[in-house]
Amino acid sequence: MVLTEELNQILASAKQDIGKVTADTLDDVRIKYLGRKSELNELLSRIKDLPESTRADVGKKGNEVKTVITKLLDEAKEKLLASAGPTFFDPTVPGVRFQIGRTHPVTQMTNQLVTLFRGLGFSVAEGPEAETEEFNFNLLNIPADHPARDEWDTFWVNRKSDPNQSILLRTHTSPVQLRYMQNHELPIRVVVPGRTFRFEAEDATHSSVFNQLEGLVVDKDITVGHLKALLTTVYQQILGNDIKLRLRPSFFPFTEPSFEVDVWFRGQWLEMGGAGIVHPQVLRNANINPDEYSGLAFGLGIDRLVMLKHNIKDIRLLLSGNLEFLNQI
Amino acid sequence: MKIPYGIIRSWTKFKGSPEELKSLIDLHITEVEEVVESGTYANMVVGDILEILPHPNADRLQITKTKVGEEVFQIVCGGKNIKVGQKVPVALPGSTTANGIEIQASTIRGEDSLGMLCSDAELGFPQKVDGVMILDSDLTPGTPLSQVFDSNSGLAYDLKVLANRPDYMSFLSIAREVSASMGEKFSYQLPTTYKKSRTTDTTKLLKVKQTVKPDLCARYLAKVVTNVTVVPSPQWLQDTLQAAGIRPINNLVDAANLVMLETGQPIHIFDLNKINRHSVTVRMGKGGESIKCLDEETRKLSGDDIVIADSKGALAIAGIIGGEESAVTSATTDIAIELANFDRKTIRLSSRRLGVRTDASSRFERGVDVYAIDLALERLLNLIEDLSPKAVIAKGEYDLHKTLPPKRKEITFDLTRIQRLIDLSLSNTEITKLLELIDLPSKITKDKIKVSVPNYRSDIQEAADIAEEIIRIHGLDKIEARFPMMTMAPTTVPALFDLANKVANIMSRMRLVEVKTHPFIAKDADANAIALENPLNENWSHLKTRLLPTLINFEYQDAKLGVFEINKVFAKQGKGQPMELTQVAARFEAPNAYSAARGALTKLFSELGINDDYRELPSGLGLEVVVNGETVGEIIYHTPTTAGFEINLDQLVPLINWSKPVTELAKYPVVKFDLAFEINSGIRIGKMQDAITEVSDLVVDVELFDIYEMADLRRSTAFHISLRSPERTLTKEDRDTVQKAIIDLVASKFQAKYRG
Repeated sequence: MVLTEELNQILASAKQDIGKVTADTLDDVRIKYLGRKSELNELLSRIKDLPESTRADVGKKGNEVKTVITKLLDEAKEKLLASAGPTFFDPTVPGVRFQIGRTHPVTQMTNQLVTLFRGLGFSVAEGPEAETEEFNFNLLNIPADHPARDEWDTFWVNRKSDPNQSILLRTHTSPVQLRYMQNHELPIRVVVPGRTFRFEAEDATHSSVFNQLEGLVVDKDITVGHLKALLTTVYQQILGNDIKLRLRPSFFPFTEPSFEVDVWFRGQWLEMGGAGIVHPQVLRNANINPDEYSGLAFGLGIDRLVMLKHNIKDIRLLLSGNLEFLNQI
Repeated sequence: MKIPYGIIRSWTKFKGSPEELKSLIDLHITEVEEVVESGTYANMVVGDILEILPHPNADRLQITKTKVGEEVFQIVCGGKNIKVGQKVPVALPGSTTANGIEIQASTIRGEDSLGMLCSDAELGFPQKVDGVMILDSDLTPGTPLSQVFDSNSGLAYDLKVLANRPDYMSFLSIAREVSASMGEKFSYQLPTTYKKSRTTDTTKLLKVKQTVKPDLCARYLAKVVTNVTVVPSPQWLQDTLQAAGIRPINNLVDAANLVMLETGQPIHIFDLNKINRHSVTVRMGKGGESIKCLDEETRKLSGDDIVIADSKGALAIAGIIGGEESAVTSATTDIAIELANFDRKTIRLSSRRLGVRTDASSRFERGVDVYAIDLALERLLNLIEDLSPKAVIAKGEYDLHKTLPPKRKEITFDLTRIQRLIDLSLSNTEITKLLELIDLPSKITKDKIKVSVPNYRSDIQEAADIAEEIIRIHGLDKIEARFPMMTMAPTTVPALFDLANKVANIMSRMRLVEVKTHPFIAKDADANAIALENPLNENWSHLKTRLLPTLINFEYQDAKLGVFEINKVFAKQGKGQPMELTQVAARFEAPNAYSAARGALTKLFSELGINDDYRELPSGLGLEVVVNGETVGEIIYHTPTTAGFEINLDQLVPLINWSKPVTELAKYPVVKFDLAFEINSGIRIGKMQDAITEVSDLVVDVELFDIYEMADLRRSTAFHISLRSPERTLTKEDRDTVQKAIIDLVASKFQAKYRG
């Protein structure tokens, strides 16, 4: 019974305090009567120690008091608000922070390139990453012990004397050229995006794992002019219309003539990758008559394009899984 | 291969600036990998003094902040005359001043100093000003001093030697190409005159024998010169060698090196009197044999190395490096000159096995013209006569050789084929003129072109090779860009490529971020993984068989996130190429991560239109994902806050429903109610939910919305149940019937206690 008495006193006291409450004191009053450390809360916590006969009644009374005080406080607040003038909507309150998912920068660039090339009538092909020495080198006119092999530092999976049994991680996407030419009707327009590997120590500008997009066109009378037009268009679409493109003489065993492709971007010539007219021997290796057909081929560095486009200084970020980096692109 | 700017200027009609020459080589010949400088002004640039501070520990010194190009270096300076804003000559670390001070990054009385501001004397000029030389204020910081003083004596171009153009390893070839690129015929000729002795005879002073197969040594020419004087070379010769990156030694060795640079023919000189019995044999090495080389290293030889030997043992490793024993020294009076042509594969393998690469071996392994010997010999004798005037050049020589290929071959190509490839409107005369400039004289008759190809251009075999020469020399910039005209055809994309893209898209829409990782792992990470023969490091020795472990190992700080990867993994598969599978793996970080992983996978499959099923993993900590009876992946509990899944995409390709039909929208309202049960530990809620769904056709959805563990490990679970009929509005009776059926079922089958 003592508890009921105390509850009544609390209610009385609360009514009095609420009667003279102001905007300044409203929170204090609320804490005084309803807060975690309030007298009421302390009383309610003692109910469980009462004899079972009175526990329910006192409990009920306690909740009633709490409800009444809550209601009185809400009313008091309403009243204060009404007298405070028109309500104010603050449009400058910062919004909720949204999270979005996203694909990897290399996936984004690959898709941009694939969309662009499909628009130009190119199909897409893929090939094995663990490739035979025959397809990665020999059929591309790069015989064993040729100095040209030095250009491709290779991860070997299982090196054997028979190049058809000798397995490596492909050093370029070019072997897919052959696989595609061997299995498709002419004319051919295809791009091959894919992961490639080089046996080299990693630093800010070198990664042992990177991505290329290989392009191949085979038809009657394909020329260097066609190569120029295609590459110019592609780099314009990716890096902007004010880029310039130039070809420099080079050597790749699987193209003749062979070129380095440079793009003038942000005030300097940048090396973008190799290109050329498919070597007649490579066409023969794919059972295509080089006297009748010719082809152009080029390779784009997908990682390099991502780095240029987004001004990334360290290629290792791409395979780091670092979300602070990935969430920016 | 480094070619000095000065050589091009004096051998050709090129009169332009170093930059113009760089661009000409880049656009017509090969890549200039670097413009390098040696000699007086190497590593010296214009500096801009941005700041001058007193040196805290030395009254007579000052500290400057000097801009030297993009960078600003702190340089301590003793000169009193410097002021902020002045342009001054800066000797950077690695340079040597005219009075012999070698500049290094150093600390001067406790302050770092990255170079030196130079005085007149330090640059080799008479000292006019006391203190630092002050340069023209218009100069740009970073400009090489060689440009400021218009001295290009030490300037050289480091060229990329294309694998099909071994002849690019000679000044002559590069100079010819530079001339041709300017439209000029190359007419420079190396001096080759000298006086031959009438009495002294090579064959009387030296015996040469060859026992190696002729294929391994196509030609071996030896000649004796007596009465030589070995002294340091004159400055011009030392400068030229240094510009090309070769250290001067003495007049004879330097002459041999210069001729190698000029002609591409490596030359070796022996001290004749150090050859036992004046008799040498070109033979294969022997096991157990070793030789102390010119670089003071002793190397063990094998039967695969070619050596030049006397009766006592090897004197030189053929085509790679000479021996110390028979080297030319200041005491040398008579010499034997060797000009040979060794097999490129043999030299390449020997050089790799022995771990030594020299100017000679890098030429031989690319392939040297067997006729380069003739010009090189005459030029060398001319130089020796010049550098050691009392030398007596013996008459006669050894010239051991197999049948040599013709000096020139006539090859006929299809002219129309060439014209179609180059796509330039060049007249026949223009074509023959262009080819003539690069030593490929030709004759055109109707639609054929007959080209005379010198032996050193063995790369020219096909019409495409001629096409390349024409457009390269003519100028690649003259080719007009135009699109090919091709037949229209639909494009195709591999189904797996499409699927991977679709999955990436769905995953990112579920707010996951795609990551990409290396395909490598350590051996102990997976016993079934395929090993690499030459891994980059031991943590990357094998190829991944699954993607998830790497994702799980990433240390992320966020309490809530999801990342995924789509990539290839590799598995052993008999002989030949390993099996390659494309996987998607996802890792979730959340208060109840397993639930997130399972929910995401369910959504992924429903978006793909694939019906999935599950089997518990033996560990009990996850599920096998089963599609059409085949296991396609796993969902894995890692910790309460980390979980993930991985799925093989290849298996899903045939199952994707690319045109998922929509179900017709219902005409009648849904009736919803909630049911809560208490179940014993060990009861599978997933199975319970499946069972509830099966109770009646009217049940259209069962959603678990609450689950908690009680103190005795029993669990309380609650479901939202949705009922709907396609035919009518459901009544209270319908609802009660279904509800009762559910309660009865879970009571009997799962011993679940109905709570309300």
